[in-house]
Amino acid sequence: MHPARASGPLIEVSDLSKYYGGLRAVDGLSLTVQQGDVYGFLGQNGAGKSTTIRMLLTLIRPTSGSIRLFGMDLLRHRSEILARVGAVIEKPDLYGYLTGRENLRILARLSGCRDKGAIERVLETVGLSARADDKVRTYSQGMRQRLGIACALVHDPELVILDEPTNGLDPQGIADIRNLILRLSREAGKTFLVSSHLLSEMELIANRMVIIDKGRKVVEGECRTLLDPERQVVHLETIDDGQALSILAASRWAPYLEDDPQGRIRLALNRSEVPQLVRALAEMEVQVLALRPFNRLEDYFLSLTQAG
Amino acid sequence: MWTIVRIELFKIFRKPRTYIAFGAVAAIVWLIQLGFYADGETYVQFGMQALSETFEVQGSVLNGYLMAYIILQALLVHVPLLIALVSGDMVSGEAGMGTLRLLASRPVSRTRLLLGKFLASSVYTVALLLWMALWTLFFSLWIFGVDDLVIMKSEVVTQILQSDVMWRYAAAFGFATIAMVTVSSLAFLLSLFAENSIGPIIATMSIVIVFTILNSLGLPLFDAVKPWLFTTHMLGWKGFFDVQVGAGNEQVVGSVENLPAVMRSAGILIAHIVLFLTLSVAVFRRKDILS
Repeated sequence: MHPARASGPLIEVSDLSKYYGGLRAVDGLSLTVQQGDVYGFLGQNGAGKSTTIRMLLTLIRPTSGSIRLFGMDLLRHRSEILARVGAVIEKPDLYGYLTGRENLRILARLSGCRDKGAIERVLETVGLSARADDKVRTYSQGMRQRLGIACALVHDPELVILDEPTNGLDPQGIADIRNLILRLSREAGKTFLVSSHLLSEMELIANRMVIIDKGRKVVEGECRTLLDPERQVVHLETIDDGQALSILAASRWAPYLEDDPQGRIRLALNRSEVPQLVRALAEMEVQVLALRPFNRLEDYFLSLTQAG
Repeated sequence: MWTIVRIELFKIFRKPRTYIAFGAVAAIVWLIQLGFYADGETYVQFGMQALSETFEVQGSVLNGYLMAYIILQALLVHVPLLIALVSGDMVSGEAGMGTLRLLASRPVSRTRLLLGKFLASSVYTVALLLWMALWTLFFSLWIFGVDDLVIMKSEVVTQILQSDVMWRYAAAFGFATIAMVTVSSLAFLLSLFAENSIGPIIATMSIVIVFTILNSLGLPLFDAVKPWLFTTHMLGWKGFFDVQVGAGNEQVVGSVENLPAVMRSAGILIAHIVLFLTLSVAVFRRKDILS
C-alpha cells in the first residue's frame, strides 16, 4: 500500500511541550513519522493537534523539546527544511481578491519554485484548471480546500502536512481529498501527516497513527495493529491504583502497560489474554474494583472524546 | 528579498483599498485647484493687501509654485492617515485573513519577510508622494503658469526666483518621503500586534494627533520631549523654502537659511524609522503566529 521506507524517520518529535501561561497545550509529546507514511494525527478538538503542527512549521516556538525533520534540527535548518514541506493549516485561507493561479504563483515563488509548468500540473492534480483564473472569493469551500492543497504541493514537497483537510466538506469533497492523498502517496511517494478528529476517516487512509489527548500522546503505532479487532484495551480500577501499578510493572504484564493521559491503569493485550490477566490479578492480591474493556480503538477514542 | 518585495507590491496594488489614497489625493488637489482657479486672485489680493501699499508687485503671484506650496501645506498634515491605511494593514491584514501563517511557513526567514513587506509599504508611500507631486506641482504649473514663488508668513515675505524653486520642491518631497516613511514604519510596527487593520490605523493616527497636540501646547512640562517627537520634525520640508539673505538684503540663490536644522530633523526622522523597524523585526521574529 505504501512505498518502501528509506532509512531514518522524516519527522522526529521528542518531548515537545508548549505552555501558554499555566495552560499546557502540548505536554511532552513524542512521535515519529517514517518516509512514505500516511500518518494519522488524531485527537479531539483542543487536544493540541494544531499547536503541534504549527510548531512543526515554526509558526510557534516550543516551550521545550526538539523537532527534527529530514534528520535536521528544525530551528537550525528552518529554510532548508521548509523548502521540502508543504502544508495546509486549519482552514485554507488564501487571498480572496486574487485568482487561484495568482495565489499559486505567489506561494510557488516564496517556496523557491521556478518551474512554470508546476502551477499547471498542480491545478490539474486538484482539478481546478477550469477555475484557475477566477477570484478565490468566488470559490466554494471544497474548491478552496483543493486550492489550499495545491498551494501545499506546488513546490513538489516530500512531506505534506494537512490539518483537518476535510473540515466543512460534503461527502463527495471528503472522498475527493481522501483519494487525492492516497494517489499522491502511492504514485508520487509523498509522506503525509494528516490531522483529524475522526478516527473513521483516518482508518481509510493512514498506515500509522497517533492519538493525543490534552496535549499528550495516548497511543501510537501501525493502524493494522491498533485497529486489530483482536486487540483489547482494558482499564483497571483498584482500591490502591499506585500499588497495583507497581505490582503490574514488576510482573510479566509490564509490557502490556500503556501510558494513560488521565492517569488510569491501562493495558493493551489480546482478547484471549484477558482471563489470564484476571486470574493473575487475583493471585497477586490486587483488589480490583472494576475492569473496563474497550473492544476497539474507536471505543477508546470515543471515550476520550466524550470525556472531553 | 526582491522577490518578496515584488510579491508584496503585487498584493498591495491588487487591493482596492490601495487606490483610496490615490483617489483622495487627486480629488482634494483638484478641488483646491478649482477653488483657486475660480477665486484665487481675490484670495491673493487679500493676502497681499498690506504689501501692495508699500511695494509694487509685478507678475503673477498666484502661479503654479505658490499653488503647490499651499496644497502641500494643507495636505501633508493629512497624508499620514492615507499612509497608515496600507502600512497598518501589512501584517495585521494578513493575520486577519489567515494568510500570515501561509507566508510564515514558507522557506523565507521572518526577518526577510518583514523587511520585504516594509520595503513594499515604503514603495507605496513613495508612489503616493510622487502622485501627489504630479498633481500638486506639475498640474498646478500647467494650470496656473510659472513665476517667482512668493511666500507670505506672519512677519516675513520670501520671494524665491523661479529658477531657484524646482530643486527646493524636489528636496521638500524627499524630506516629506522620509516623514511619511516614519509614519509608515510606526503603522507597520503597530500592525504586528493586531489581527485587523482598523486597530493599527486608529492607533497610528492617535499617536500622530496626540504628539501634534503636545507640539502645539506651549506648556514647559512638554518642552523637554518636543525635540524628540517625530511629529515635531514632520513639517521640516518647509525649511527648504527659507532662503539666506546676503549683506545687501538680496537672496542667495540655492541657499537654505538653516540647513543644519533641516538635516537634524531628517536625521531624527530616520532614527525613528530605524527604531520602529528594529522593534518590528525583534517582535516578529519571536511572535507566535496563532491567527
